[in-house]
Formats: sequence, structure tokens, C-alpha cells
Amino acid sequence: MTATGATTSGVWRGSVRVRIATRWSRWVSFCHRREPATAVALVRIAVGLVVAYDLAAAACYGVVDALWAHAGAGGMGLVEAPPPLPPRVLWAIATVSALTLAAGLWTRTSAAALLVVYSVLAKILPEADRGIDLLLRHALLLLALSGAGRTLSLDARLREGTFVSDAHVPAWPRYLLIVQLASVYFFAGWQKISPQWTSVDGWSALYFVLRDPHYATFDLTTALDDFLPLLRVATLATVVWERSALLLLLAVWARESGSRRGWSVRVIRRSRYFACFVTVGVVFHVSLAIAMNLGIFPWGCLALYPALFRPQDFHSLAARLGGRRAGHGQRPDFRGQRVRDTNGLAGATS
Amino acid sequence: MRPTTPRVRVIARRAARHGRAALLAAVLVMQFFAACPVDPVLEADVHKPDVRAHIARVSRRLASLGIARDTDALAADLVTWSARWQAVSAVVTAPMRPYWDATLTHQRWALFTTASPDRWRMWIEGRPAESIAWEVLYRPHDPEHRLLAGPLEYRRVRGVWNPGATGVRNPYPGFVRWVARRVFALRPDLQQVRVRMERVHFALPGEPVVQREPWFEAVRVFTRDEVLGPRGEIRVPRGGPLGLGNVEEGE
Repeated sequence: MTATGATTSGVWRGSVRVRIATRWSRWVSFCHRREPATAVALVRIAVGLVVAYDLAAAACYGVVDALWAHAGAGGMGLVEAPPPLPPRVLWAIATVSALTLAAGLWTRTSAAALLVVYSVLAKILPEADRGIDLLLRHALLLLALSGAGRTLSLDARLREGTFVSDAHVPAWPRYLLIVQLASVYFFAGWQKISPQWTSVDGWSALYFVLRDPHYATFDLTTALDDFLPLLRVATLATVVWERSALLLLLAVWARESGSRRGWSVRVIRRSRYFACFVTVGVVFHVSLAIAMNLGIFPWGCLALYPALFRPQDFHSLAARLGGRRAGHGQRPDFRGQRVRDTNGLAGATS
Repeated sequence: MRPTTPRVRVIARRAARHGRAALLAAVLVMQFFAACPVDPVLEADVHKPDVRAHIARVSRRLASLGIARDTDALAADLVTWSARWQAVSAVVTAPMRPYWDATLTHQRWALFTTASPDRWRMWIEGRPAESIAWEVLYRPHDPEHRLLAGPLEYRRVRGVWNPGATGVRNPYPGFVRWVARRVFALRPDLQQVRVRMERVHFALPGEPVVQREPWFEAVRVFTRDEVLGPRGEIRVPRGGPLGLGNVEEGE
């Protein structure tokens, strides 16, 4: 190798090393961010209420023993050994934990207790534990780690004498909630490869799903025939929307970092992908709640949606609605970090 | 032990920051591997006609892109790479497995992946004596027969009785026994309860509709004496942990 070649190679290696170091440093700063707890607090309230509602429904229908007692005590499950606690006690612990979680009382303990009891209930009768329960258990772990009880909570009232606090918490639990949501949609979308979800069977999936007697809210046996073209479009839109969820991460990165560098970030900003994704998501879940009897599934997914927004989004909304406290709608202070605000998008760099 | 000098404290804080960033990066990688819907592909799988046809289609597409790979070679690649992926995935996700097992969670999200035109419809029926015809008590989308509709349509209970891709699920006999108990408590005149699943097929508009007699599967019958004691108490199943009920052949 010539001296010039060796120098070029060394420079190239050095530049790669610098680039990796810069990226890693940026990632470390991103993981170290702190922000007001508003978004995770809203997720906490929504998740607590959704779980409490579901457990209350089980009690109202009188199926607590049937679902969670062992086989010898009249339960439906296959577990022959009695559970660690009587089913009604497990149910009561789960319900109280869900309510205290929503109220923000002993928030970390409530989230952890609910996660443990929810898991015990799932093990007694796994068939009664649906996909939404798994998603909510993932969320509970992140809520327990997030400091979601620092505002809009009884904990905040007890600690600081006010329900609404400006206390800052780590931002990474919220980012992981976003990754979880994107992962659910993206991988669910990529698994929709049966003929009815593709052009092979003419995008007819929703036509059949909405006729399923076990799931459809209404008996639309004949009415659906008139809407087949619309249902084909809706099927295609569902698949495209779910499969595009990976772009949500890029859109969130663009919003959170305030970055305008890179063509992909510029395209995602100009296309208003974030607003489109959230709007389609809300319409999709509300339509599901109306057309299909899926229990808490649509509401459980929507309960995680506040995590998609930055705390300052809620503060501006509150300010716009005129219900904000004095000084609460200010741009968040990222505690000792230099805050760069590009066109109203606050980005923190260290 | 808490670091005492400012320099040690700075180093500890920096290490904590980098440690957290590394941990979060690791979590993301594990989540990706756990979520990827790559099932193990066995040698026997690639010889199934439908899978073979699919591989042949992919082979033709690759050929049109200038990549020559015949069906046999592609099938062998599929088996090899699927095994490799499984091995790597098992190693990468190993740290999270105990947590996922303890909380019964995973990252494989399959929401309505099959939307087949062949669906099921559950019938719950009862009768006062063997000589009398069955009376329909509950049937989805049947406004005249709604006994126990609330609890039956509650999502957790439906998860127990709604058949999956391979038919009814394991706790189905336990579910039927519970239904029978609830029906007998509400209808003292009935002596037998039957639960069965009707196979229904929906055709797209314009497709030929095959007219046929209703076809039922997973037919289970319980009598009052089998599920309730003389004073109406729950009778512990005999002849096995669940008591499967009287299984009838599909009609």
C-alpha cells in the first residue's frame, strides 16, 4: 500500500469512528431526555380506566369465578390446582390497583401490583387473555418505570400539594410506548397475508370479518353486499396503514428532535404523516368499536395514543382551551439541557 | 457505595447514562427479533403443494429480476435460513424470556390474520326431556334467542368458546359445563343442554352459493344431574378433571 493510500484509509477509518461516536452520543442524549409527565400521566389514567372497566364488566356478568377459579371449583380453565388466591380476591386486587393507577395513588406500586395480578389471571385461563391484555401488560411495566404519577395524580397532590405538577420525568418510557404501538401495528400488518387481505381474493377481508356472527355487532348479512367496493378500499387502507407504522418512528423522531436534516425527515414532515397516522388510527379504532364486539380492544389501543404526543402539545391544547394554569403552557425546560426550538418544535440537545 | 469525590461522581453519572442508552438499544433489538413473524420452516413444510407452488412463484419472480434460483434450491435456502434465524433470535431474546414467561406476554402480534369465508356460529339449546325437540336458547345475531347473551359475548368468555383455526379450544368442555349450570339455574324446566358450533360459509356477491343442510361440530350435551347436585350445588366433574359431557358426532 502506498503512503497516500494508507493515509486515505486512515482518514476514512477515523471519519467512520467519529460518525459512530457522534451518533452514539446523540442516542445517549436522546435516552437521557427529561420532560413533563403529562403524556405518560394521560396514558396511565386511560390504561387504568380501561382495565378497571373490563374487570367491572366481568363482575357485572357474574363470570369472575367461571374465568379464574380452578376446574374443580367450577371454573372453565384447565388448571386443576387452586390459584394462589381465591379468584374474587385476585379480581379485587386487580380492580383496586387499576383504579389507584388511574387516580395516580401509589402509582408505581399500583402499576406493578396490577401487572403481577393481571399475569396471574392470564395464567389461570390463557384463552380468556387476549392480545389487548398482552399490550396493556407491556404498557404497565413501562408505566411503573416512567414516573407517570408525577402529575394529574393523587401522588402529586400528596407530594406537592397540587394535582398538576411541572415535575420532569425521563422521556424514554414514552418513547418505548411509541415503539410498542408501532411494533403492534407494523407486524400485525405484515402478518395479514391470507388471500382475503391481498389482491388474490380482492381485498375482501373486512367483508367476511364484518359478517362473522361471533364478532360483528350487527347482522349485516345483506347490507354489506351493497358496500363491497367500499369494504375492499377499507381493507386495503387497513393493510397500508398498519404496514406504514414503521414510518411512525421516523415521524416521531422528526417531531421530538426538531431535526430538519435528511431527505427522509423532510419528506415525512412535509407529508404530515404523523397527523394522518393518528387520524386514521382514531377513526379505525372508533369504527371497530362500533362495528365489532371486541370489548376493550379499541379503547385499550387508544389508551396508548397520548404517548404519541409531546407534553407541550397537551399544554398548548390546554392553553388554547383556556383551562391552563398560569405558567403551565410554557415551553418545557429540559433541566440543564440546551433547548433548541425550531419553528415551535422544542428539541433538546446536550 | 455512593461515590464521594466530584470526579468519581461525574464518571459514575456518565457511566449510568451510557449504560441506560446501551440497555435501551438492547431492548429495541430484542423487541425487533421477538416481533419478527418468522416461524420455523421444516423440511416437510416445503414439500406441501401450496408452499411448493408459492416457492415456485417466488423463484419465477427472482428469475425475472435476473437472479437464477430454482425451486429446490430456494426451498433448501428457506429451511436453512429459517433455522439460522430461529437460533439467532433465541440467543438475542434470551434475557427477556424469563420476564415474558412470567407475565405471559410476547411480541408476536397477529390481529385478524385470517379472514376466511368459513366461519362458526354457536348454538345453545335445551330440552325438558329426551322425547321433546330442542329449544334454541342462544344464537349470535338472533334477537329472539338471547339467553345469557351478556356474559357469553363478553370478550374473555368468547375467547374460551370461539373456535380457532384448528377448531374449538381446550377449555371448551369446561365452558359447556359452565353454560349448562347457568342455564339449569335460570330454566328449572330443562333437563338437558346442548352446545354446538354451526359451520357457515359466506360467499362474495356474484359467487355461487352452495345450498346445504346446516353442519355442526363440537357437539356437547350435559344433563342436569351431571352438573348440579340435588340441592343445586356445583357437582365436581367425574371421570376426569373436566367431564367432557356427552360428545355427539357432527351432524
